[in-house]
Amino acid sequence: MDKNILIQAQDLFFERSGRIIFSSVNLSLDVGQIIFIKGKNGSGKTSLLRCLAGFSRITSGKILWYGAEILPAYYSEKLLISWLGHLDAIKGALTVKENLIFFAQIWSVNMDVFNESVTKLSFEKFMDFPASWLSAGEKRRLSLLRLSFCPAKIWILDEPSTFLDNENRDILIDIMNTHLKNGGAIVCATHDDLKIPNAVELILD
Amino acid sequence: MKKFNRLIIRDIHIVVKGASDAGAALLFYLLAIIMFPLSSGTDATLLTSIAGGAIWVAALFSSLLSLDRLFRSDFEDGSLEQIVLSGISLETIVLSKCFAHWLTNGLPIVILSPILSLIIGLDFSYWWILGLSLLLGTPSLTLIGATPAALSCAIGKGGVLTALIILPLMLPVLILGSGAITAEISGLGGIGHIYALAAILPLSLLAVPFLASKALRLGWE
Repeated sequence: MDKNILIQAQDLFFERSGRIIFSSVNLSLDVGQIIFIKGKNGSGKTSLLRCLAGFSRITSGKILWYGAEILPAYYSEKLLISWLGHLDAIKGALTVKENLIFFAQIWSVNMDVFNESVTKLSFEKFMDFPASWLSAGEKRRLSLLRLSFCPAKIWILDEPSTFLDNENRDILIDIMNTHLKNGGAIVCATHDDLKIPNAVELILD
Repeated sequence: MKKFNRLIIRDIHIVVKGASDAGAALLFYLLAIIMFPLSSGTDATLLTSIAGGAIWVAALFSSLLSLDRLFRSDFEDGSLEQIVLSGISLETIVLSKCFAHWLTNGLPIVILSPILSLIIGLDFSYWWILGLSLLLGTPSLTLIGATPAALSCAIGKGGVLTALIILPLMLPVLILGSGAITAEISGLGGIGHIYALAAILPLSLLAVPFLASKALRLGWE
């Protein structure tokens, strides 16, 4: 197996209490590559992403991260992937800044990178607000802000564009492009048509 | 270790901001103890004989009240998923959460206990055995409750159900803890109970991180 391939998945099969969620899925994620996972509701997009993040175990098949079977959700040496799911992981009682700083610290993020991300998503004026004051769209942008300073190479995104207006959708595409240019890789489930050059599509049915 | 401390600071910060039941659970502890003299009359000998049990029951329920939310809020808003991907093992996260819970619930109970023992008519000279039994017992209460609290996240139900699972598991600690005080008052010496309590703590400290993380993972699968 090639160690440079970030995620390599072979012949994945996943069933939940007798119901087949997805079967014979193959994918290989290389540096600088983006894979869009598409398919109608209930086609198993989120389940596939949860398997790729290591939260769920596949029924049969094989997934390798950096050429080894280390489930990222079980791996305790370093941050392997960045995960953006349906849940925003924002504590309403804390301020926006406290929410962000906590993750910046456990991910050992450089303060310059942190400040740059805050400016990019124009969150300066929200920094001292309690996070519970934010609207659904703003919370999503806060998750994007956290994503944009996350140092992990592999990004796994589940519907990142929900709640976003057109302007912020462009910012999202910009963040994703920057990440790809810096040697990262993305797996993203979406219904929207996010325009990114050289994207690979994987359709689940 | 740095990350471990950071997790504890975060949890305490959230408690201080009032977003958890920790403060209310502590207030419950105070009120529950005040209920005993009010309901059982002012007979000093009777109160002295039930004092140890009363303080321990109040401590147990107070711990129980706040345990239900030990993992729930982080589990439901996705914080736990984010933290576990950050290169911190789930076992470490469980330990840090238990430690933060003990610092905000168990430790204040221990500190308040000598003062409360006066309200309930326990002679002040017994403060050391009361304090010692609580100091060794409250961390075990937190740890024992952690696995059912994690399970309740996995099945998406909490409240009374969690209490029903936790209560029987906590009985040994309750019996030994209040037994220590009763035995000391009756002149038998409570130190034997204390030794047994001291043995439960390392056992639960070893087993609980694995059991609770297993339960949390069940919820993710």
